Amino acid sequence: MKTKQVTKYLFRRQIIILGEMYLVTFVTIYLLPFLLSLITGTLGSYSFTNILKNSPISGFFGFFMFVLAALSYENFKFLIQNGISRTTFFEAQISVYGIFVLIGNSVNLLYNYAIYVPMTHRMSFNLFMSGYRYFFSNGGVTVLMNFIFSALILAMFTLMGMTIGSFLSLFSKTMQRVLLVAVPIVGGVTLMYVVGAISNAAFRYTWIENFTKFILGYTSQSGVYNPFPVMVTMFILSAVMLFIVKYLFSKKQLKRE
Amino acid sequence: MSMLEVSHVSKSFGSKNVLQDVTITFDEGKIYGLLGRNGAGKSTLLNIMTNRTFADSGEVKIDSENINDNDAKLGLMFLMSEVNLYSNGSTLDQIIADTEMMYGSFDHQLAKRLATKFELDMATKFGKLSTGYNSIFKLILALCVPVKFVLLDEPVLGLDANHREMFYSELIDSFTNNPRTFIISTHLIEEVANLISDVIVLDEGRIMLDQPVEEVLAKTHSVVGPQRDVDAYTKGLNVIGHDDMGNIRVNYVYGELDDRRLPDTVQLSNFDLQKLFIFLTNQFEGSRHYEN
Amino acid sequence: MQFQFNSSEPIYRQIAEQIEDAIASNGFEEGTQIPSTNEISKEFHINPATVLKGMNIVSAKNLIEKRRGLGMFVAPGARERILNEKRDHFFEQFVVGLVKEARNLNISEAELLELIKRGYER
Repeated sequence: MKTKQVTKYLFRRQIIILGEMYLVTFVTIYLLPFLLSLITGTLGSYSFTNILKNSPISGFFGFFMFVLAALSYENFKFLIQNGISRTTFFEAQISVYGIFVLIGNSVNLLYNYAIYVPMTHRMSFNLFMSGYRYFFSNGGVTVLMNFIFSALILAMFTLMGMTIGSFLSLFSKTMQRVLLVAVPIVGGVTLMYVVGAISNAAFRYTWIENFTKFILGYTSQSGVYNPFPVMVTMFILSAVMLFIVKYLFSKKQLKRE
Repeated sequence: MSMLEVSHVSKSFGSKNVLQDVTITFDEGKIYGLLGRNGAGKSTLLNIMTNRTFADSGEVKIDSENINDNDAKLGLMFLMSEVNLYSNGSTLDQIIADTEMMYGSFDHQLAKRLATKFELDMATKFGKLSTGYNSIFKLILALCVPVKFVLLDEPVLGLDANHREMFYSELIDSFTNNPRTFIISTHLIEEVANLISDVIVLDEGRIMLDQPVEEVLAKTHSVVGPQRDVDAYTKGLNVIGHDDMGNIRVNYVYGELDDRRLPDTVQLSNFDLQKLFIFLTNQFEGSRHYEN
Repeated sequence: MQFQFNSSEPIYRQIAEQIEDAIASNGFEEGTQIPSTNEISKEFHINPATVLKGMNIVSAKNLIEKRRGLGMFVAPGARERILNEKRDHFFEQFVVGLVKEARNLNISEAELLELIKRGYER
């Protein structure tokens, strides 16, 4: 097995792409407004802290991981040229994304706890903090659970990207374009229909609503939610997606161009 | 000694059968010529052999172990192909470093010598290479990786005559210094005719011929003379084609000549691989479609 | 080295013949080194095994000899032996065909002898 070499290769290539994504983002949300206000002569209204307060920097990471994970075909091409098996590619890719999620998640939380909160005095800096921070009375446990909860969300995004990316890479370029246009439309319409149906009075107080409330962690205490059902759900979904991705990786082929 | 076996491999794209029950064994230390017209299935076969695509049925083995999803076996092969699987933004040096990491070692000395000889700047980005230099760079990789089976799919594509000459010499040099198996897929038969030790002819997805070149050529006979005498002499033999020049006829026979008496008016000699290939891949009598 | 190959005879035999021809014409002098298998192989893009086979025919006749670590050298007396062999084949190879062609052209024996004489005088 050449997992070690492949992991090293993928890590180096993808950390560069990740870095480039951050660079582009920083330039767009910090530097561009600065330059604009410089040009328009309204430099006085430019406030770095304001931008920092209002931009979800830590939220970008999940999105970046999604995009990065969806672009797996390029690496497959290089690896199959060099006699690397699909299984090794899969294992190395999962290791690399695992490391990325751990690093990214740590940096995110560190940033939020050490910079964002002291600066803005806003505690609800992510999904866990907005919904579930009152469930635990111990501050340390809250931070730990926040870490696990956020890591699970990132894993979900990453695996979703991998699933979509490797599913699309099974098809020809034309078919990929068709799917990229058709799926969101069909999905959107379906979602609208489902949401419409659920919000319809007839569905209220049915098992669907109860189930949703259970997953979201409603408790008898108002404003306090239990994070464990969501976490378990995310864990199961991740495991299922991992399984699907492994299968899709084993089906990867060089396309006829 | 390692052995690369393709057994009963079939593959179709839609309703087109690209490969039909292909079985070949490649021994170590030989140079094979994989010949076939465009669309005969050469590239598909090489892609299946290196696990880039999957066969519909059949399997590929190295030393009786299936190569599918097998790092150890896949690492014994390198396929240089027309499709580019390297990223355009990487420099040649970077690609070499990455290739070395995957294969475990790399003959840097040879790569450097070849780069100088072909005047290839290793700091160039892969995407900036011309068609010819793209081929040259991939050939350098193919000669420098530590594999037992080097598969070259149309290796001299886009190379000028001078570079082709240089490449064939370097191929032999590399082969004598480090004997391993070369499988060269090409439609430029004349250029490789004396280079290869074994010839495989693929036509419409089937193996037409799979033999040492010497044995094949010993079975080629061109029979020249007056039409009547030539036809009488070759009656019952495997005549695969003919040429007419006025009253003089050449019948091309593939197979053993029995000890029938040769008339004074008729002359015998051998003919070459190129001719044999053309006749074998254009099955009907006398029809001659020279390509290229 | 000026080798020419055609398709009507196996390459290894052509290699053997051309080495012998080169020795006969003093292109490769006795006692001197001849090109190695690899050199011939590289120069003419011929499979090394084929070249070796041709070389082996020549060395089996003791016309060339191997000097350990140095390469192949033309053996002493090789030229004379090749010329003798060629003389032996002269009749079969040239005279028979010459007479046959002369008959086809209605050239008499006396006329042919006259022509041969003329050839020597040139």
